[in-house]
Amino acid sequence: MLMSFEETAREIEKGRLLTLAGSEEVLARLPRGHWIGGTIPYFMGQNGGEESREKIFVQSLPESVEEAEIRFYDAENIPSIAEDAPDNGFTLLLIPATSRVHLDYAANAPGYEGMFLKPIIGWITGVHLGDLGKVSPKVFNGETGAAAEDRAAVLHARLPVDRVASTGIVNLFTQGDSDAISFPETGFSAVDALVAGERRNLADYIAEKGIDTRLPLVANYQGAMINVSFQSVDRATRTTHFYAPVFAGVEYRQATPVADYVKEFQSCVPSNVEHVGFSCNCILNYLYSELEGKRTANLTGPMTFGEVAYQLLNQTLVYLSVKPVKPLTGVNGYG
Amino acid sequence: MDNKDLLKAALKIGADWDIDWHEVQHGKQRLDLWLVPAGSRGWFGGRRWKCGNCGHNIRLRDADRRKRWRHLNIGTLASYLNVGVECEFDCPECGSSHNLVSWAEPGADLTREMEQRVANAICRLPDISDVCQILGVGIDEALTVQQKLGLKPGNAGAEAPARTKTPSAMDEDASWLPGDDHPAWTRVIDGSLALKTDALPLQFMLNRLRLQHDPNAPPEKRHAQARQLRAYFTKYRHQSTNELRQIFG
Repeated sequence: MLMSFEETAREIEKGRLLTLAGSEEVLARLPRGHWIGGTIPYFMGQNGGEESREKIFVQSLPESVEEAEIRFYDAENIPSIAEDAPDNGFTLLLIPATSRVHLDYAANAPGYEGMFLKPIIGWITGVHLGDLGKVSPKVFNGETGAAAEDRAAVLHARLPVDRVASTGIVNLFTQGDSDAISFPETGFSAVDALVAGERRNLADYIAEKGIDTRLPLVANYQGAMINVSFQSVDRATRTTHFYAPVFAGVEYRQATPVADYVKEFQSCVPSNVEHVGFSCNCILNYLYSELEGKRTANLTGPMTFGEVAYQLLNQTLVYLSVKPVKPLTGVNGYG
Repeated sequence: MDNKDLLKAALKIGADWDIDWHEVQHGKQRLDLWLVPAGSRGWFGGRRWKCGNCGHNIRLRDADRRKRWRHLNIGTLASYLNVGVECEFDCPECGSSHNLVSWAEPGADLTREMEQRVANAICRLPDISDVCQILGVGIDEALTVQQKLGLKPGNAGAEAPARTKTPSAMDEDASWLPGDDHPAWTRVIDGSLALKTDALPLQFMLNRLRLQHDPNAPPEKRHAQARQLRAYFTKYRHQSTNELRQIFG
């Protein structure tokens, strides 16, 4: 929940394992303790969407965590993040936007060794939109007090054998019935794309069709709707830029518009979401859906420059659940 | 190790519950255990439980009716788990829902562990009355398990090896999962078996495997892909019962 500096400091001093989000100024002044933090001044707080440079969003990780390790990763060793994670537990990952480790993770995480076998969740840290280009996003290791703009802050948490962590998403966007778009190469930007089977300049196609770039491209990953958001369309260079990479070979379609984000959000939250230990949502949902002052169910958290549920996502809420293990009930081992 | 710890270990009671007290009725060959959530403090007879989501100390209400489950046998005694507080509730602070009982399905009279033993016995023994006599369960309880799991008495002879394993062994290893060379893994990867799942990591993994899949690749490469999928199900077998049913029937 959103707390003042003093309230947050008290939570840290209680020895709790925390993940924090706030402005660089307040995070840098916090006492050392068992926390990792990232910079962002936008939140979905207990009273609704809110912008604040003074408050801190505090999420207390489940008490069932037996052991936690906080460390930085750079672009060289981030590929081992899943291998380093405990066999039973979860990993919380905070990456400064536009850093090299951000770009590497976004493009290559699906291929990292052991990826998808251990829950990895997190977010891309950012800055106030008025400070874009003036200050850099940061992450903090609360145990040492160190901040970084070129490394990711990672918390590996180990759980007892009777608990299991899982990562889920809430994405309101679905594939519309527009042309199928695929890309010859993986990347954060594209010049040409295969549109309905025909090679086209994507920027030209967007202009020609009058496409609303607030609606992301959506891919269907075996039933999971995965967004890639438009960042900008450069008409001069005829290049389209994205907030996450488009992947070669994946088929995208532009999303169907969402009429009322808050109303549809309530109906999209799965009924079995429980024991939530962490969640965050996207700054683009905050901006495009004008969420300031509006509440989105009980799933609160920072509004971020990108979300991580194993791989980098856009315009998606991600959450972590830690639940008791359901013992096997069947006679053949699985039913 | 004191008596309570010994009983917890023998009866596979998890770390999140403590034995408050127990009673043996030798005449009835029965052991009753009264359980309380671990760490819940008593305040003038009440108990509190810390919400795992927000840390709020929730006051546990006394149950309107004591809940009891038939659990495993220990020696000649039939054990029963008793709980005197409401186990399903919402946190008044953050609204998150909790169910403290993980050892039984809603409405079940037997714990999952006991259901497992009854099910194994039904598969091995020719007559369900033998199951009742050997395990000391009622005919209604045995028939409920039989019906619920769709079992046929005494047909275990040619079944998968897993059917002859004990529940504890199944919990500890996943050797009962078919090997990397089982064709069902390839059917999932090449999409000829349309697996329905809402497990996000599995959806991501399948997407990656299908993008990489080459039907003309040598068997070693196909097995390497199957190995990744099998590794997922080895780890998440507890959460993947529906998916495994789709794959292996």
